[in-house]
Amino acid sequence: MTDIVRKKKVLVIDDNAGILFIMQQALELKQYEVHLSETYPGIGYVEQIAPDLICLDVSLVGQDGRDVARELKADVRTRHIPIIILTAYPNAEDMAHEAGANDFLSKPFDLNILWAMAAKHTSPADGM
Amino acid sequence: MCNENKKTDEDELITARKEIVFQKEEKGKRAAELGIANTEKGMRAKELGIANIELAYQDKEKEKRAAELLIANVELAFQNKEKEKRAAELLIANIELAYQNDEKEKRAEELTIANKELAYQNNVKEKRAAELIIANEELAFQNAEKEKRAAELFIANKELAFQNKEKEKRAAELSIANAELAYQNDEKEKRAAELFIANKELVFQTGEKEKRAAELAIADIELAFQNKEKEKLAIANREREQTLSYAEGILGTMREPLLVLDKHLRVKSANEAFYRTFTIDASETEGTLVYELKNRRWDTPQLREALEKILPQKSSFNDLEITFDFPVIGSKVMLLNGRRLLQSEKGEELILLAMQDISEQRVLQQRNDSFMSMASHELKTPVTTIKTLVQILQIQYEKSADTTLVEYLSTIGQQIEQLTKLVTDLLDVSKIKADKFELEEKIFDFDALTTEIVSSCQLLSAQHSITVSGATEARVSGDRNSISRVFINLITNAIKYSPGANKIDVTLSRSNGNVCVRITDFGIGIAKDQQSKIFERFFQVGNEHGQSFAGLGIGLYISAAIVAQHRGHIGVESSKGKGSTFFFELPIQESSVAITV
Repeated sequence: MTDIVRKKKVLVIDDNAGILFIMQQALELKQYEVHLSETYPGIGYVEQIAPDLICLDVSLVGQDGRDVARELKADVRTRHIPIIILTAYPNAEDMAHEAGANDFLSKPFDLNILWAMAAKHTSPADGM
Repeated sequence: MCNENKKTDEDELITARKEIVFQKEEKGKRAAELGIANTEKGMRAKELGIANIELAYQDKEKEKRAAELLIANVELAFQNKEKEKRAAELLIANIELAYQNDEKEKRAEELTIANKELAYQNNVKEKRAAELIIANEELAFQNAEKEKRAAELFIANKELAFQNKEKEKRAAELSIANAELAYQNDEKEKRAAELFIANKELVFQTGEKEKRAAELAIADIELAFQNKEKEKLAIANREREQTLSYAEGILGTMREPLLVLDKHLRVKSANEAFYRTFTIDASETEGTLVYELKNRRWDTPQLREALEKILPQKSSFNDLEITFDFPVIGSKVMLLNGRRLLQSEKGEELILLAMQDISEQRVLQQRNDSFMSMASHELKTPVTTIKTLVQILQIQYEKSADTTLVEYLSTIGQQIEQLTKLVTDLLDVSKIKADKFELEEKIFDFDALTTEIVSSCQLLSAQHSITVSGATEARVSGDRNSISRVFINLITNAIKYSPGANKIDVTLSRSNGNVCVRITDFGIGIAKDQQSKIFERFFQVGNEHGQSFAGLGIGLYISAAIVAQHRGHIGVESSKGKGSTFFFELPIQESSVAITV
């Protein structure tokens, strides 16, 4: 194995600048390459970035994050990318599952849980 | 020389002249030949003309024959078709004939069988005829015997007839004598009956006279009494009119709608506020069955239950919430109080229905709840941001020498945890109010949960020693996280409200298919009048100085909602100054029945 390991890419979509900032800080601490977007940038952009993980807020301005998740999971170009739904609702398991997301994170979340979840969904053992 | 030349020229001239003559002759011949040839041509032309005419005629003849042939062909084709039809008809006729022949044969067979049968029957008949002849002979002999006996009987009859006539004469004489006697008896009985009726009539008339006399005496007494009563009634009426006008005055002035029903639930009267609130008038209201008001919009199951079940048993009900949906004035949420009244003089039962329109109050409440939901939801975003940044800082400065900074960050972290809990509680309260509180049902070991909770709660207080006694040995089906919250809430309350005590007892048991948990503290206790309020929203128990404790006063409210959603029961036993025991019971459900509200 070479010393240079490709950094895993995470795309964070959340309409709140504060959340985008802390997601970037938190994920960069764990050596992720972080891409941020305040709105859903469209499937073409997602395909171009080719992230290893998408963290997606449920309530985007003018758009329901669950619809975005459904769209990404319906498209052959993006359906393999794991999606973590960010939500202010506790017990959002059913809601995330229904939208086709792989996991959910209830705000306010614990940093260690975010890291564990990101690692779980970007590890090679996860089939990615 | 010259002569010689002249001679030659003359010879030549002669030859030329001869030649010319010859040519003229030749021309004449050829002209004659041409004439002949022309004549020939003319003849041939004539012949050709005739031949052409002949050909034209023949062509016409041919065309005629062709036309005739065409017609003849059509005729033939038609005849062929006719022949085919007839052939088909013949075929059908043949089939018919074949069928008829079969039928004839069948009938012939049947006739043969029938003939055999007839022959057999004839034989039988002949046998019977022979038997009949013998029987006839026997009968003829018997008849002769009968006639002999008849003649003997005839003579005997005549003798009897004579004797009968004699008897009849004597019977007729006796019958006349009897009829006369019967008539005389009837007459006697009639007169006896008339006398009996006349006696009864006399007795009855005597009785009537006595009765009337008695009645008159009573009527006199009655009249005297009624006169007194009238005087009393006049006074009572005056008083009642005053009371009535007083009552009507009160009802008319009331701002809240009021209905008076008779015992058949028909509206006896209503006040102005009622007419105004429901945009209805007296003619549509008075005498109408209460359920029929406003196009039967008043016909709700809750009202029926209250009027037909609760009132007959309990004589009153309070704060019954009913939502009416009216097409024009919209939805109205009313709080109803009902009371049975007995009007003692007439023995008539009345029902009083007082209402309070809480529609607007309800709208405001809903707006408030949805605001709370939104606000607490919005609070989560900044809390998340701050919490994560503090965590990052804590990790980065974990091993730094700057202990003050580490301490500060730790305090900020704890405060954020508290803030998170408050925000979550607020959101839960608004969800409970909006009936959107969801539970995830799983089956879990109740005793294990208790141990887990108690050991983590023990960390919260060094002063109190929390002990568990008893066991449920049960598996409970429900939302483990929510039930943990109930537990934690009750234990932290026990810690919070017993600042002077040093122990908390947790007792587990099971009874009637329930697990029971009792959490006893030895703290400030709760006064009796406050015990029913502590499960309400935002209520807090104060200490003896009226000083309140930290918190929003929603923990017990959420706990009660969680327990209720698990079809359980929560309560308190307490006396002021001695401590409290909070208990809750949850049904033991091995089956996985979905819990949703």
